[in-house]
Amino acid sequence: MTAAATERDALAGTVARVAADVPGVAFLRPGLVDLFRPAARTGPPRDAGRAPAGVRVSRASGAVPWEVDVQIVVRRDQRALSVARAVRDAVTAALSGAAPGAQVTVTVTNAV
Amino acid sequence: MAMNSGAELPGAGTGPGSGGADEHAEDERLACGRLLSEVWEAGEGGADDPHLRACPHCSAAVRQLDLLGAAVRGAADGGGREPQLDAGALTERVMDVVRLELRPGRPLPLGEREEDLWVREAMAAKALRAAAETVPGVRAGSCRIRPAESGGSPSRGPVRVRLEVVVPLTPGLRDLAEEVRRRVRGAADDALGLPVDHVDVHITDVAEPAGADPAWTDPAGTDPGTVGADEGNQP
Repeated sequence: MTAAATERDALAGTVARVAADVPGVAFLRPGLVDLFRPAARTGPPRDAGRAPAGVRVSRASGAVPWEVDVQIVVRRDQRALSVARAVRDAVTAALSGAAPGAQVTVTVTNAV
Repeated sequence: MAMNSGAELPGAGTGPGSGGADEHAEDERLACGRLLSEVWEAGEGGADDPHLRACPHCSAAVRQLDLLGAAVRGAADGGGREPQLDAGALTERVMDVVRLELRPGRPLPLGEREEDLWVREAMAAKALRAAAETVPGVRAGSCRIRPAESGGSPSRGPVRVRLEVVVPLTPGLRDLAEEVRRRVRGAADDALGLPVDHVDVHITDVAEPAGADPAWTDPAGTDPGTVGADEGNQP
């Protein structure tokens, strides 16, 4: 595994942990689509240590900020916008040291 | 509840791309041919099916659904305001998560124009349909939500909602449609935070209220095809 991939996985793990802990978040998008599209699956089956499907971290090159995409399922008694803003703010704050200037996108996919 | 014939509505019709029930079922079929919903129900019920244990697709599905079931149960229990989920309600919510994962719809903008926050159309449509159905006797059908303006991809502007409803047969259909529209707008703001430009309510059918005299006829001769609340002419 390259150093860049290791850094990316570490950031994704941080994002997943911080986002899941935000009040109003039920869980991150679980990624069940993998069950139906085995051809799209890359690498070994997901294990407990890997970031869930609800987090994607990428960047075009080392010279530009990271782009972070978080997809969440919210609790049904919560306002989607308020939870999404709280996740964005929490993730942005958590990455301020390791990935300053990260562009954080939050998508609410469902409420349970 | 008594419904007129012809008042059948699609259960989860949320927009184009959501086709018939058969197409949906195909979405949820594993590579081994089993339907995900069947696998989950068998796993939950403790069925002793050799295929479930031997099939890599089914056993992977059961593992994922077990995790999802625990997460859904935890979300409901942790909410504080909800009663414990029974097995049927849990299964329903788990499959709802699965369906919205498979057919999430397009991203729609949440909050202000300069923010990078989104909600998927299927979830938003579910919330708006539920809001419409808080009006007594109203059943919501297809709910399509589109950017009201063309532009960037995807667009950040306020959205346009087109909702089909079946309503009880009452004299004040226009007022009823207006009430549906008011609740849909309310839910878009309160439950989602989705900026809405425009809500079209289309009455696709009227159903006699339960216990109504079948001989009763609409004195105004109301044609459901021409009644609706459309704010297209309003600022």
